[in-house]
Amino acid sequence: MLPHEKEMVARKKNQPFALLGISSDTDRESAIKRMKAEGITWRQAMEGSTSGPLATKWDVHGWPTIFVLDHKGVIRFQDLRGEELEKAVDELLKEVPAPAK
Amino acid sequence: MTPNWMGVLVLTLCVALPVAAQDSRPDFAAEYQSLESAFRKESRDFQASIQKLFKEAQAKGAQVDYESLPKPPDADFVPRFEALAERSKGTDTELSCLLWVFQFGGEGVFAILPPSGEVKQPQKQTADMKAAAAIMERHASSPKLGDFAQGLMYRGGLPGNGDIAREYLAKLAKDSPHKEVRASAITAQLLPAHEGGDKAKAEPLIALLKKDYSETKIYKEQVEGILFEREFLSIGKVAPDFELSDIDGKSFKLSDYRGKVVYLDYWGFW
Repeated sequence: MLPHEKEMVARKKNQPFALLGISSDTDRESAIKRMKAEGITWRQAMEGSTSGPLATKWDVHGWPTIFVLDHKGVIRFQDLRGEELEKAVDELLKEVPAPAK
Repeated sequence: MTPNWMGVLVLTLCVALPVAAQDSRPDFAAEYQSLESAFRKESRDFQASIQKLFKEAQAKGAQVDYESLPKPPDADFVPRFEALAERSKGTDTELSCLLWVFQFGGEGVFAILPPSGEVKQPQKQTADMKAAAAIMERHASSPKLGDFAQGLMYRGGLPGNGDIAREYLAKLAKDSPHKEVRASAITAQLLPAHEGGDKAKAEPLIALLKKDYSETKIYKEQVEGILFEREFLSIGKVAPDFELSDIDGKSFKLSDYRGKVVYLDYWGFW
């Protein structure tokens, strides 16, 4: 997962795309250390456990669980992986209106 | 002096003998407690030794050899809990033992999966399902079967034991005299239907839970999350906003990212 995520983030650096990680790791310190060591540059928040408040509310029972939201904040895809996931993101990027000049 | 001593001795025997006789009757609950704490201790030791191996491998930058890892103590304890269950048949201790075997006697419950993530097909009558059969036969009306129902749910998704696990769940959902157990069993039927997107099966279960079980513990812990998801988290709905602190201590909202395509990843290293 991670290598592909890194590639995606790099490929879409100049596009209206954001990867947000909600980590359910329990050991905060060592997880943050590993994130830095792995070169994770995108935003990460930590819930501290697999039954964190957000994961519970979003009914996340398996990890990773991935939601893809369009530019309006609408959930458009769930639990795609790899190439399919990137294709979905690319489709949604096409829907983003070009910034007014 | 002598007669007095005799008197004391007789008196002592009179008092002590019935106590001794009582003591010689097996105290099943205490046996269960000590067996259970022995298991806990061995499990802790096992987990510590595994963690140590992983840390050592990590320090050396080496891969852990999954074949050579020590085995969890679960399998060794299964026959011991089964034996106690047999001796204490019909008591509460039997049920405790059976519930233990159900939880820990399955294949691969605590198994460490190789990186391939391969799951071995379970055998037909594993110790956990044998225990489940005994529970359904002799303890189906116990109030202590809430977690048992949740365990049946996981087995319901496995090849081999799925049909029988689902049959037990249906029985508990219908016939248990305890509301919490029925709610747990109905929820255990709902979750796979919900996750598999089987609306036809999920809707009546949700309706039933909403109508009769909204004050139960499992409803608050699990069903409310599902209802939230169905209402707000399905494809085509605007994602509910949240505010969190990132690892650098900066707070952010999901709605800060309007205008961007967002890849929201619930994940973890572990």
